[in-house]
Amino acid sequence: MILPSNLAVEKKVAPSLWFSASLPILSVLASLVLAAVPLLLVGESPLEVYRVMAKASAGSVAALTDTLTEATPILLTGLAAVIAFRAKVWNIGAEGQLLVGAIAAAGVGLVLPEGTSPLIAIIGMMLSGVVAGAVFASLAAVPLATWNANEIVMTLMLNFIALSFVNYLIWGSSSLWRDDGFAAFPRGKLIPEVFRLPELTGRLNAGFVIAVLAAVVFAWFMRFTTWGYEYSVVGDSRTTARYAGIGERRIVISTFLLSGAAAGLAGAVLISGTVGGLEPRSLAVGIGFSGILAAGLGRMSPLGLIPAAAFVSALASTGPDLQRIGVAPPITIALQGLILVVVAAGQFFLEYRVVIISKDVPELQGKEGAPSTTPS
Amino acid sequence: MTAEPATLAAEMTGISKSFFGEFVLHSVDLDVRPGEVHAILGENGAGKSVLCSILAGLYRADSGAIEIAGERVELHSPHDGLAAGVGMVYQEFRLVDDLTVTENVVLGDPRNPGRINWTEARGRVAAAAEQHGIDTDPRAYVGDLTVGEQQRIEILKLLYREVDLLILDEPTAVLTPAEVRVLFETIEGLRRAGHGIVLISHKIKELRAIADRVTVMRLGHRVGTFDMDTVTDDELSELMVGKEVVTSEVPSRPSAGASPAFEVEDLTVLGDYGGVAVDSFAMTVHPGEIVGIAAIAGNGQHELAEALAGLRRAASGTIRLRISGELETLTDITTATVRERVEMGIAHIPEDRRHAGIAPGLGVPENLALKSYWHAPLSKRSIIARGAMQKLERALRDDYDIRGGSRKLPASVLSGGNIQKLILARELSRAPDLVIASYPTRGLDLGAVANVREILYRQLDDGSAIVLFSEDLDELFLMSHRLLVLFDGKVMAEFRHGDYNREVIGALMAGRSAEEQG
Repeated sequence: MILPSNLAVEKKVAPSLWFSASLPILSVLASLVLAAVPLLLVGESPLEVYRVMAKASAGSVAALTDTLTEATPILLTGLAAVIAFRAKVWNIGAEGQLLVGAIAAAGVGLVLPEGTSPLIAIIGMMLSGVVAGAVFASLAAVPLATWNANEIVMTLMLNFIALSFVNYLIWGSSSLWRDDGFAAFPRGKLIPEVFRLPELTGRLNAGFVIAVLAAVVFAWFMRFTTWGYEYSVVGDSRTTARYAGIGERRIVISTFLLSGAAAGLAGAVLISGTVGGLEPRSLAVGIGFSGILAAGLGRMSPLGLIPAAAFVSALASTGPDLQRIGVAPPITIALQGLILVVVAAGQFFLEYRVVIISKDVPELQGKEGAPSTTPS
Repeated sequence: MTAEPATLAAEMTGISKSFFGEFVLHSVDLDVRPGEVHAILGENGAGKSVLCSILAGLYRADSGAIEIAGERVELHSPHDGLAAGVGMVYQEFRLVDDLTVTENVVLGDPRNPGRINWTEARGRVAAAAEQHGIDTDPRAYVGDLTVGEQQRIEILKLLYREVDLLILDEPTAVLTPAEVRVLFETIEGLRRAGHGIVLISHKIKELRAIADRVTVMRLGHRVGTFDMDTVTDDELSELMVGKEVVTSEVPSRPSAGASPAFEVEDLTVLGDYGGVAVDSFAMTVHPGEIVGIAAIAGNGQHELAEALAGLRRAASGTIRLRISGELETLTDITTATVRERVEMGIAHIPEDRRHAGIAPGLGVPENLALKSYWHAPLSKRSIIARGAMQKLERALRDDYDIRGGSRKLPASVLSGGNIQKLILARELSRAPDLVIASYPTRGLDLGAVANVREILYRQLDDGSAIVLFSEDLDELFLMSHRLLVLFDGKVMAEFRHGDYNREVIGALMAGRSAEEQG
């Protein structure tokens, strides 16, 4: 670590509760101060930019519901990351599992006759998304559990396969999912309006409730079921799990499938919620990776994930409004990135503190800075 | 201060430290003279390592002052400690296996230029080794060295950085007797050269051979500092634990005529790389009996323990257990899973208590539930009863005297002795018919050793059969009713309590049969 010579880093034993609670807020404030520098350099007023950002993400009921609407799929892919990562299963394929979930959900929505009860149709779409996400995850889960194949490489590659398949369905074939009404510029066919998730307020639909419920249910599951207990042991120490006779393979596979299911549900919620059809340009926009980001910001806690997903979504929703006041999109993206990096880096202070070395011990610096010498 | 003949190598005054609001050091003083070996003696959890880690700059004291070579210092990191002339060799080495001795020694030295001339560096490392009488090859890869050689590299690393005060944390715990002799020669040389040496230990006998003075610690307090010549071993041991420690011999078996509780016949087990690790092994254990297994590391005892616990498949042979309730018949458990064996009444105290015996990141209640969580009262229809788990914790903490930690903190904060008591509590409270105990007292302090042995003896009264693996012959002699000597996976001989002969058994462990010994 390179620091000015009068600063040093120390490991903390345990962070105090109020500090862990207030750290996210302090980190956001610090990130705004830091981000002011590049904004001033490109001639923008930081205060004006921050005002617009606050207004765009939470300045009105409409802005707030928009933020939560966009947070919904991030919350679910974030949950996929939390589930897997806590068990040290490195599923980074939420992006692909989401797409496959969307294919399944849209398929069900398009095949069911329009007269079907909307409740049954929606449940069917959600379930099909969950199952499809889990099945797609099993393509990596089984080789991992059987041959210890590298799940990072497998899930990363499966993302591309899922995306290519969606592109094929819409652009490369005349499939069930394709809307031929626009032959020159095909798009995903919309499911019947009655199969869409009911809206709560503004654009916010019942998908948000589903996502929050999923996170809460998982938190409960982890703490209060024997599966959750075994899952915690496997996540903590595989050796101990083996010693206790916990079927490690069973836990790894079920964790992986559950993680894929959460990502698949994200796809279904998008189809039945805001998107309405298998539309690559609205689905394959990096929601799987935003989920990993939210999981990290939420410190791998299923409940901490809820505000973290809202924060990631709030930040992402500021682009159009900033463009309206003349901030170029590259600047916006750099700004969002900078804020996220600083907030994520703030978590360093949960484990470490920086201290100032008192000046009355000059001999330390003297000896440290001595030039290369031969030991006598 | 002015009365001291020479400047002290280090002086710590009024050092206090607490973790998680629990005091681990209460205003402790320590002074180390140049050219002396100063031992710090105490039980696990007495605060020895924490005190020394503060002196080395790894932790910061909450209050108190440190002077090194007469100068007041504030240490914020081990880096500062090194700069001030203090270095510590920790129990777990900080070495990179894939780098050479030279690279390891030079690594992290702030005097390194931007581009290192390796020929020159190698020369300097060789010169430093030569100067301090450390026998090593600067070109060797650290991963290829023995534990004793690696430890010497750790010491060399500090000497290369020109420290005047070396702290060694339980340096002999990992060494063979021959390596201990080499280490003590090295320490002797450093003492003569005027280095101050702090030696953390809980083995009084060893300190006798090397220490000049000793500071005894108990429960975070300094009990006193003495010249080694002025205190006896018994006095030290009493100061350390606060009461006289007596480990009794194993109680004699209640009924010699009882039928066996556990039988192994013709058991062959393969090692990790497919070779035969355990070869046609056979044993019988009766209720209330301890059968010890004596072997030098790597002679199949590890694989045998795993096979008995169900963690490793038997290639051939049979393992039979008398399950309580079924009085005369033995049940074949050769192919039973770990979980099935737990259900049948096998308890297992594993070799690696910190990484296999507990889930280090989970709390004490969760760890106590590890072998019974799938049953009522801890869970009903797959739903965990958190209240029952906490009740279990309260009961077992009292019964087995598990101290430290709290419900919210991970079990990894417990001291070694308390982790072992946690494991014993979990395994033995289930009234097992068979206990597989691997190295149950390794690395524990005297008080905890006595405690663990008493707990195992208590289990004999309840009719358990115990298979004891240990690296400590004294312990095997003390605790075993019978002893099997294992060499290269085969049983060399069997002895009964009273017939143990150290020379004969030692030779058998090294693979020499009675005839060869003449």
